[in-house]
Parts: sequence; structure tokens; C-alpha cells
Amino acid sequence: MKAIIGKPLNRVDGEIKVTGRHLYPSDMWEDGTLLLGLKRSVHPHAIIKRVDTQEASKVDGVVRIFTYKDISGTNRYGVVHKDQQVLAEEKVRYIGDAICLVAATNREALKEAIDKIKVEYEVLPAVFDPVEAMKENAPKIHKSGNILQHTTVSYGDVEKGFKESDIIIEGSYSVPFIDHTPMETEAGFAKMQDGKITVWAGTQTPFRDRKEISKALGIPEEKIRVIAPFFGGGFGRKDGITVQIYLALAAYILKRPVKIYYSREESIQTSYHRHAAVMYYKTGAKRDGMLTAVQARLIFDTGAYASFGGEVMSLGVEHFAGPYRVPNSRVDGYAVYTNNIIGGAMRGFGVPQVTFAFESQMDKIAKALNMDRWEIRYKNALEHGDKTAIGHTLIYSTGVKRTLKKVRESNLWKGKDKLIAESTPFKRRGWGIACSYQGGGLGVGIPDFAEAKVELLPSGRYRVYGGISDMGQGNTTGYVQIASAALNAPVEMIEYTTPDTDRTLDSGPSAASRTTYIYGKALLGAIELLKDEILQVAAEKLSCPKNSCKLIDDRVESDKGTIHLSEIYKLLPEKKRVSTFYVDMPISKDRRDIGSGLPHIVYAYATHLAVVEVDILTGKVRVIGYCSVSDVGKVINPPVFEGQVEGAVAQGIGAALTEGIKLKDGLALNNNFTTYIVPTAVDVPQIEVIAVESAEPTGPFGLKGTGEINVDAPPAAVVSAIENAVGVRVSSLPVSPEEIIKSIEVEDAIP
Amino acid sequence: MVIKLKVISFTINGEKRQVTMRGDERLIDLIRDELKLTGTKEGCGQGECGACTVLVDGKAVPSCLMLAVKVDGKEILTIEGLKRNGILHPLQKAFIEAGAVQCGFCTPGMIMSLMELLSNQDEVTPEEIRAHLSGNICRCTGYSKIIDAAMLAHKMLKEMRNHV
Amino acid sequence: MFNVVAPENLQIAIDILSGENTKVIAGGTDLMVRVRQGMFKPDVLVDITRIRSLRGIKKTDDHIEIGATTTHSDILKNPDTPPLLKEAVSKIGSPQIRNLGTIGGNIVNASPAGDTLVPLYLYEATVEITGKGTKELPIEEFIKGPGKTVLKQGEILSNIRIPILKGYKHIFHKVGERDAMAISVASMGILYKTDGDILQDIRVAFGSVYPTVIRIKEVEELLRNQRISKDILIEASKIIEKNVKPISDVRATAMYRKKVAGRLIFRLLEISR
Repeated sequence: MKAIIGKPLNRVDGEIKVTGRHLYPSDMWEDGTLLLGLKRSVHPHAIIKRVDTQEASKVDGVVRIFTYKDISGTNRYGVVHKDQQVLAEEKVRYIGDAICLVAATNREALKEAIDKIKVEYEVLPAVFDPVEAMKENAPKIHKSGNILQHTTVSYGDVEKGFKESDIIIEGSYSVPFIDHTPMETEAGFAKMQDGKITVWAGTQTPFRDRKEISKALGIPEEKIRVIAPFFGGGFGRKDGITVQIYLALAAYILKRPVKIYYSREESIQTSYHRHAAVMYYKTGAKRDGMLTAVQARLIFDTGAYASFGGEVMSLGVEHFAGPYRVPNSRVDGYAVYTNNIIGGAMRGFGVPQVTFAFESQMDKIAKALNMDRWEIRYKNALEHGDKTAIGHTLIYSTGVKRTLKKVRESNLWKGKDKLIAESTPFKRRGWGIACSYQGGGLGVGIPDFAEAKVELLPSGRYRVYGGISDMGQGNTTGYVQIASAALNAPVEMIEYTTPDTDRTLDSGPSAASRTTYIYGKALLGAIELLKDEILQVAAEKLSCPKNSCKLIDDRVESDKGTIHLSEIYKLLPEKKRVSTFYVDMPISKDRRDIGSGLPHIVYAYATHLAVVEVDILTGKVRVIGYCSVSDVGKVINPPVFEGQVEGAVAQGIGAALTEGIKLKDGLALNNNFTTYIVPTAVDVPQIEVIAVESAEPTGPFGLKGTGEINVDAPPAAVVSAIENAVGVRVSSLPVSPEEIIKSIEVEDAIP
Repeated sequence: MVIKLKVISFTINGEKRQVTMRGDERLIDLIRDELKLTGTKEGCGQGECGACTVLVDGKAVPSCLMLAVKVDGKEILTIEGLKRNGILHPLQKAFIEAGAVQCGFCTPGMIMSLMELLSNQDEVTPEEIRAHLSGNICRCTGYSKIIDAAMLAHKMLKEMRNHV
Repeated sequence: MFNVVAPENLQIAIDILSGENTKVIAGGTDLMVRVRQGMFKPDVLVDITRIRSLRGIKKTDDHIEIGATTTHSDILKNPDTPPLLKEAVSKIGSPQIRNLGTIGGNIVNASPAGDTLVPLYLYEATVEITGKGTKELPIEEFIKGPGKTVLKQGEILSNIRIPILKGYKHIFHKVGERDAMAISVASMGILYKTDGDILQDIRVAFGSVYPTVIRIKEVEELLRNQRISKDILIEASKIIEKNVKPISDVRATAMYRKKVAGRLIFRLLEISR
């Protein structure tokens, strides 16, 4: 069947997944494969005095124990700041910092050897509170000090704005570290193949990985190949080095296939997380509800290493006041090191944190002015051509007002009063609303490009080279769909690949809501070029004008005759059978030199509506109705779009009600699924999904990017609904049942 | 300590097999490492996430918690056993049709759990499906389309049963 | 690494169990988690699930007997299962866990949060221990504290006997961090009998708020033969808060557990509405 832009298309990777045939990185294995594992620091901050691997190396089945001494390159990696060591040299900065890499023939030997490695530490004072870490006398985690980055932006005159306000509302908000908990933890497989270190991994960034591996190990890039098969979820966790360098090191030195697969506990303690943050807000408004000034201080806990700390904080800074008109603003953002677990990229990338804060502020303003919560948002909502709170102009599609209007047409909105009235004894129901926006792409100053490749095959079929990792979001299906529509060929004729540094072209990370937007754009360009070559050859062969030739299915037709594509293949010179096309992400023209990618220019928008039920005896909260209205430009594949919305909302509900790493002196107390609580099928209601399609002219077929926008608003919508239900305003996540029952006297609540 | 090896016999996906085991292996190790059937996944190792769900004598079990030797004399069904003669099982078809597969890592476990539910029920509601899947965690889909797929598969299975 | 033996005969199992570092495994849903965490390192595990006499549900004139290795799923499927026990068991883990886990395992595990325990205490169940001989004990004498039972090396829990209660209704409430697949943070079970709107008889017990399940007789005495009202429940609530001794752990604070236990009793208002 031919794909139609805007109509459903089954995932191209559906069958291999439902049959269990697809080999995920954690499934890969061949005879002779060695298992890899890490010896990790048990202290949050310490100097390593001695590492004794003698007893461990004697364990039957252990093949090799690596330390930093085995690494010839820089032994460093990091997306922006190369401050992480592959294997620790002198200092460890969090519980989980890797010290030795062990290779063994079986799991038991691996575990025994790791247990038997003796490490002598000199324990250093540690700091776990980012506010404490910012102080002069705090223990220094990195030589450069504990403040990784301070970003400040102001627009207008915030003091004047407050003076002109009729009311001023202050609030403090806090959110914990969140774990992505992709169903497949960090995993990969590597071996020497054709003289190259070949690594298969669950990675959102195969090309960047290759660079990192090369620098860290001191091996030329040409000798390294990284392949990203479809893998079991990422959400940002696999944006950056996780296991790739360990795999490359072991495969290179041992010249044997090697495999690594983190346990869930290891994954939660040692990998990346959504940053914890404390946020102080001051919002001023006039009596009629118009915002006059917003000021904020945002402190992001980036943990032991930089990862994306500065960039996440900066994106939070960019979005800090919400999709609203704010004439005067000032925001100070800090990304701070602590000896906690590492904050890195996670869906939303700084925006979920600030959305919780600024939407809570909007609710508070509405309450103080006795104004309807929808009304106040609509009044202040941004429109095309407006300047955002940090002062840059929205030149592309800006649909937030439309999402607000549309939510009132939803079934949930229309039915919410009845649903709320149906409450049973000891339960109270209420509704809440929240708006959000999310900039797509990596931002100003950060190379954000894609280079697509498409090929005509001898059989007359096409091959689309999927340049950006597919961790489940379905971008590969999007590429096939785009190709099918643009080439006027049935999807059965279109083969696809996933990223491979040997075969596809660097197109940047699978992140930032960009994977269909930017690669789709590039793909359309490559397809136009290929089409042109095909029609040119056909026209010459058929002796007719090129514009009378039509590409239909597996042939070119004209009134002078028909040529099958397999014939065209033979007629095309080799170079012309493949086309590539390079595209850069559009960036804001108001180049305010803010740094770290600020600001973006293509934004998605959303309005969310939540109905909750609070049990006044236990304080437990259930979400019983949810509606998401999002403006993501054109929806090219409705079920894929809905799947992204539903999944993001579920994650948002988790962040609202049950998720959050509980840290004690740098140790994640809840490091498995019994204690890190994610929503199950009974915790998420059926979600009403509505798209407001405001065509984004810069996107392929008008699309904008769906991956993140719907994860931002749920906590604020849920908290808004809780206040509506029981009058309790929650300022720190996850919502604590204890806090709720503290605020509700049973005697008063029951007639 | 001397480990006494044992030979266990079982049927897996319709095929009779005999394997020598130490005894402390988990069923998931037997399936993935020994029999090389990697469709069954390990997501947590604690029986919490459901990715390792397989059917033993028709009952859905967490294979990461079940000792492998317990399947002696029993029948195991894994995701690989569903497609017959090149034809996908209605559950597999339904998951594709309903858009219920994103990263797909939870999918085999989801399908095997649903095999147990839908083999035993004439009528089923979305609430019952959600309750039955409460031990299968998905991080990508938010569950909506998985419920849709289950209802669709149920419809397809009912039609098949009525035609027999 | 450990050896596993799976005898089909109870006496053989008992004999093997007198060996050193030899433990019983039924479903293994708790045990295997502890093995994985390195908290439990047996040399030999005796799988008792192939012993026919230990599995199944029998109804006599005045008792329900449940074999120790009966799975939670089988308990749910059986029409003779006492209703409060059925409701509590339906909240254990997930369908997969219920297919593998057993009532005996849940009892011997003796977790203060064990879901089968509140009903068993309320029904005044007895458990049968088989070793060299057999003996029967009330469940509250069998469980001594968190993870502690009176079982000695070479003994197993073989059977559970539950007196049939006629005419009693029940309330059960399990509070977990999540609605399904959750360890209980606080739970309450009530068995009661009404005559009009008077409580003829009532039994109340709580889980996860004391080292073992706690049945609060003081509350039962207060409520017995009374009409349910908000005021009397406020009093009951205070008694409950005084009697429970919860701990703080990664799932919840002691304060929350105490307060929730006290508040759950208000569910009794449902019977008069």
C-alpha cells in the first residue's frame, strides 16, 4: 500500500518485534562472547588510594580486569564537557563511578570477581544539596568549582514590572531526579570485524559515540564503527556515552566478542536522570489577570558530572515563564554539581521542571484574583509574532491559544462536571489545567543538521537509510512513510536501515523532538534529487520531455512508454543511484547571545486537562480522566502521534504521583521496580488525544515534532486538579499522600 | 559444594526438549541462554515488570523468578511459538494494527500475558484487561493502544472460535 | 549456586530438610528476589510444589483447608475461598506473581505486609506444621515477628485451616504506593456482622503497621453492639493510632502509616449508608 501523509501506517518494525525476532542490543550474543561488568565506587566522594585485583583475577572464568592504565587515549568523555572518566584514575564523585572493567566467561564469575576487587578509598566530605554545594565552603567536586553554569537572561525591567503589579505571588517548587526506566537497560555488544571495532548499542547518538570512543581510547575514528539497532527505549538516557566505550575497549584489547547488559539496579544508580531542581518564582500581575513581571531563580542539581547540565538548565531558563506574554522578566539559572547521581538528558530537558513551577504560579495568580484558571491562561497566551518572556520573536507557528480553545471542545471538558459530581464517599474529585511549550531542535550555536541518504537498488526497490536512532518513537516508520508518499511507491518497495556509522550519514542525536522533523526534511531533499536523476534517465531513454514522465510505483510512465525501475538502475551511473541531502535546523533570527542553544524557534504547544480523584482517608490520588491537546504542526501518522502523546502523559503522571529517586547520601534507595514506582495499566486512564494542526512551513509536510511536548504539563495539571478537589496546593513532586492527609482533618471532611 | 546435574524434559513451543541443568538456573536463563530464544526479555530480574512473561502449562509466569527445573514435564510457550506456518497469531496482528508497539521491549511479555487472559474468557472489558496487565510495565505507550490491541485480538479470536 | 531437589513425597522432603543450609522453596517469588540480592545463600533448596498433598482446597463442614503450596491464582479461582481472603489475595503482586506464588510462602515469609495475613488473623486461622510429627497452631502464635516464624529446621508449613464464618461481611483496604503490583504500606481488614444498623460482632486487624499483623481488641470491644457513628469512629481512630507501631522505610513514613491506619476505620461508615 502507498503511504499517505496524515493517514495511519503500520510500523515497519512491528512484525519483527511482535514475533520476538528482532535482536535488541541486549539480545546479541555469539559463541565465545565475554560478559562485561563494572567495579564501581561505593562512596559518593573519595580518592582512590589503591586498587587490588589480584584475588579477583584468579577467579575461574575471569579473562581480564581493566583499569584506567589500560586506556591509551584521554580516558575522558562527555557531551559538552569531557569531565567523565571511562575508568576512574584518582577520584570518584558519586556512588557508581566506574573503577574497573571486568571481562568473564559467565555471570557468576563476573559477579565473584567484581566482589573480590579490593579498593582502598580515602573518603572525602561530600555534598548532596545543590543549594549547599553553591556555597563557598562546600566540598569541591570538580577543580572548576561546583557551579557548572550560571545563565541569566532578562527582558524589559522586572523591578518596574513588579511596581506596576496589582498582586505579586511567590512560590518555591521542587522536583526530584526522575529515572527514564526504559524497559531495556543500557546494553550492547562489540567485536572486531573487518579490522574495525564494531559496537552495537542502544544509543541515541552513534556518530557522536564514535568520536567519543576514538578520543577516549586513542584509536582513530576510521577504525571504529557504531551501529544502533532498534532498541528498547531511551527517552534521553542513551543520549551520550553509557556502555559504548567499555565495549570498544574490551573488544579491541581482547579481540573477542563482548557483551554488557546493566541490571535494573545498576542502571538506576549509575546512569543519567532528569535533573532534580529547586525553583523560586515571583510573578506579578494586574487585577485583570495580565502578567506584568516574572522573576525566577532555578537551581538544577546536575549530580557528579556535567553531562547536559548546562544545556538542560538553559532550556529551562528559556521556557521559564511559560507560553505567555511577559513584558518584564529576569531569570537566573544554575546548574550545580553535587555528589548525587548524574543529571542528564531526559525527555523535556529542563522544561518539565519549569512547567511545574510556572503553571503552579498561574494557578496561584488565578486564585488570588478569583479568576478562572482557563481564562487567565488564555488572556496571557502567546500568539504568532509575539515576543516570548526572554524577548525573542515567535516567527513560526504558535498554536497555544488554539490548544486552549480546543480543550473546551473535548469530551472530557464537556463531561468533567458530571464526572466530578459522581464522586463516591471518602473520595473527592476535581479538574486541573496546564499549558506548556517545547522548543524543538538543539538550539542556537549547537550544530543541528541532518544528512539523508536514499538509494535505488538493482531490484528497482528503494532503500531509505535511517539516519537517526529509533528507540521506539517510530521515526523510521516516518521516514518510510515520507519516502512512500514522495516517491509515489508502495511501502513494500521501500527498505530501511537504522543508523550505522559505516552506512548512514551523521544526522545528529535522536533527541529534542527533531527525529522526524529534521531527517524528514533532509530525506525529502534527497528524494527530490534521486527522482530527478531517475526521470532524467527515463526521459532520455524514452526520448520525451522530463516533465511528461511520471514516477508511479515501480516504474516511470510517459505517453512514449514505460520503464521499470530495475532498468533505470542499469542506466544510471553508479554515483547517481544514491542521493544525499544536507539540511540545517532553522534557528532564531533574534540572536540574543544567551549561550547553550538559546533560544529555539520551532515550538510545539499543548494544553492538558486532568480529572483526579483524591481518597481523603489515605491521601492517594488517581487520575480518572485526561485530555491532551497539542499543536505539533501536521500529524503525518496519527497512531504514531497518539502513541507519543499517550506515552508522554503516562510518564508525566508518574512524575506527578509516584516517581522520584529517594537519595540518602548519594545512594538511590529505590533502585528497582518494587521501590521506583512507575505507572501500570491501572494507573493511567484512557487519554483523549487531540491534535491542533497549525502547519509549520519549515517542517516536512508541515510537522513540528511530538516527542517531548506532552511530558511537560501533566504534573501541573494533576496538582491543579488536586487543589480543585481538596483545596491542597502541592509544591513538591511527587505528590505525597502524607502531605494531603495532613491537610485534611477527617472529622471535618466527613459529614 | 557439589552440584548434582539434573536432566529435565519439557516441551517448548510444541517441540520436545531435554536439557541438563545445575538446578539453580532461572527459567529465563534456560529460555534465553540455553535455548537461544531471545524473544523473552529481562527488564528487572525481580518479577515486577512482566517483560519475562511466558506461559507454563497455559499459565503466565514471571520466568525471571521461576526456577528452570520446575518446568520438568511441563509445556512452555514463548513469543516465538505464536506464529504458525508463517501466519501471525491474532494478538500479534492486533498489536501491529492497533499501533501498540513502540520500542517493543515489553511487547512479548504483554502478548503472553494476554494469551492467558484471552484463552480463558468469552467476554472481556478494557478494565479487566488493564487489571490483567497490571504486572506488565510499558514505558513508551501509556497503555492505551495496548488495551485497544487486546480488545481487537479478543474480537478476532471470538470470530475465529465462532467459525469453527 | 545451589542444588535443587523436588521430591514428590512429603516425608522425603522433611528428611532432606534436616540437612544444613537446606531451605524450602515453593513458588520462589520472594525467595528468588532475595537470592538475587545476595541476601539468601542456601546450599540446597527443596522444591515442595510437586508434593500433591500440599496443594489444593478442601471444604469440610466447618473449615476450609488450603494446602500450603496452593497458588494465589488457585485460591482466587476456588468458590470456597473465604471472601476476605479472596479480596486480599487478589491484591497480591500481579497475575504472573499470583500464578507462581503460594499462600504458604506468603505466610512463612512473615512480612508485616504479607497480604494473606490480615484475613488469616481475622478468620482465626490455624496452620499445620509437619516435621517429625504434625502440630497445629493459631496463626498469631506461628508468626513471631518480621520474617520470623516458629518453624524449626526440618519442619514445613503444610496446611492452613480456616473456620467458616457464616453471615459476616467484610471490608478490606490495602494502601500501596500504587494500585497494583505494590507492597502494602498499610492495610486494614474487617469482618463484621450487623443486626439492623447495630454491629453485632466485629473483628479488626491491620497490616504493615506493626511487627506482625495486629488485631486491635480494644477497638473491637468499643464497637461491638454499637451503632456506627462518626463520633464512635473518631474514638476508634485514636485507639488505633495508640496501638500501632509502624516504622519508616523507603516506602512510607511511620507517621503516614499511623495516620492512615487510624483513618481507614472510617470506612465502617459505609455499612450504614
